[in-house]
Amino acid sequence: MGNVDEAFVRLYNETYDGVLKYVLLKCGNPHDAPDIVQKTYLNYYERLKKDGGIKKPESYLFIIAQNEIKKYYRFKSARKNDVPLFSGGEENPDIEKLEAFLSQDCPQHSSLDVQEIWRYIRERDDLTFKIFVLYFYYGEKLADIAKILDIGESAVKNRLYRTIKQMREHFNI
Amino acid sequence: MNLKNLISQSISQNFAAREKTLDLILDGAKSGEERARSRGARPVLRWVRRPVVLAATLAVVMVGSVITLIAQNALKTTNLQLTAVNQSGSTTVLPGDTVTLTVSTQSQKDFKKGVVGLTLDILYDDDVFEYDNETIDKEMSNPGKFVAATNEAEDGVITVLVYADDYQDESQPSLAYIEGGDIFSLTFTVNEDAEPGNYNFTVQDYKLADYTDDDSGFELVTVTPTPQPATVTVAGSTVISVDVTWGSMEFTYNVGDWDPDTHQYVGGGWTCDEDENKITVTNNSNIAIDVTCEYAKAQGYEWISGSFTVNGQSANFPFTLDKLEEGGTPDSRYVYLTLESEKPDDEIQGQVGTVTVSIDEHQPEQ
Repeated sequence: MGNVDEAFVRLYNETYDGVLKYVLLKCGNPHDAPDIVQKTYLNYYERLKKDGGIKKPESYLFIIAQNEIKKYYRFKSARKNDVPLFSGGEENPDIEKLEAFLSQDCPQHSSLDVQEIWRYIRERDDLTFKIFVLYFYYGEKLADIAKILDIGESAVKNRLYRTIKQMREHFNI
Repeated sequence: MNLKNLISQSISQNFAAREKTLDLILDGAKSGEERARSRGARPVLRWVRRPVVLAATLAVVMVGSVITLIAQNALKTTNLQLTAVNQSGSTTVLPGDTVTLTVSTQSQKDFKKGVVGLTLDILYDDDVFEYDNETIDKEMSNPGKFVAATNEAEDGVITVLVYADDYQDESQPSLAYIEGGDIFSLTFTVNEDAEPGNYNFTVQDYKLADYTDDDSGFELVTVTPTPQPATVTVAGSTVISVDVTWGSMEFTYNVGDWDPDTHQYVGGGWTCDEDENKITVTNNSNIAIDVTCEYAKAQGYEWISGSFTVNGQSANFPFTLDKLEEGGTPDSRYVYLTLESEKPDDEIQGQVGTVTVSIDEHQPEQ
């Protein structure tokens, strides 16, 4: 692996989660985020190979990501993300119980396939999907997710709680 | 393993597939180098259905096209024309009206075929108009052969993408194109609380493409002159307020004087006290109105006729009352009812007819 590739892979590993999160939150359809991330890094890599060293590589990377998101919006056929929010008093989920359940080792889980779970999550609406990624992949706290997504904390709780409940019913666990 | 870890893994392996993405990038870049080394084979340009993929294709095509344009000194030009009218075809609109913005291509010059795709932003005042994204007109010059997509990424900006879709023509894949005329239209609703005034629909960041002369791909088309905004005037809400006052409408038949020579009454007829047959119509509306009066004979009294005079002249209906200007005096007209008949044989008492006053929004003569 040449110096350029090494530099790229190092930057890629250091910044991947941040760039993915940035794109996830900025683009309307979260499922397009990986494509945009890939294009972002590809552009960066090509520029790196062509011109050599880049000053402030992280900043440059985020500028590319911004441009890719602009392009995405320019051409994307999508409506505004009009996901209905739960009303505050709709449910009163017991998050502590939920977290305890999620963390509990359970022999029934062994029959579950990661891809089946992925398909189930992928089919949820955009907002729920974003909440899942932020909560399970990035390990964000519920209050922080609410701030990031600019919605109420109760909406985050309700959506998380309700989806897990539906998952349990769906997978019979 | 617990469910939390399972979910986390599923996202990590699929959505955030870091290693896989890295491999794709490195492999993709290498493939690109190989392609560059083996130039000669003409890349096949193909418009695809997914707008995001198209974006990349269009960008590449258009960058290439700029170079082609410079090299060939190509003179392909067209102009984009914007029109915005309401459901009655007027540029003066009211709250609640539907405004249709149509973008058309005019005066195409030196085109290989026609417009095969375009992208542009439409800027509008979102305090005044609400975009209805369900009514984009896909039935353009080649119905069913174009894909139209819109996006409201920012308030007051609609990004429009229209591109020719692949279709089979005599077993050969081909593309549709627009030779001239309307490309697409968008509809908006004027908000009920829209402030009266003039408002523009403006185009920005526009790009059009046509086939290259050798059919090898697409190239940019110069748009001249710069598209002019379409302007609509939002008028205030229509207020119709008309006062109609009536005299008592009580008539008496005066038999007249007995003429001993002819042995007949002369000078008889229907009379009433002063102004009791008067109808006053006053327009306090903010629009001009047309007024019509009609007399209907009551059953059994068909032999009594009614007619009207306006300001002493025989009436021609409808007559128009001007709108009330701010601080002005309302336009008003006096209408008089006249009854005519032979002398009744018997004494009569009761309703002999009905007068109806109709008010309509004034329609200017075409």
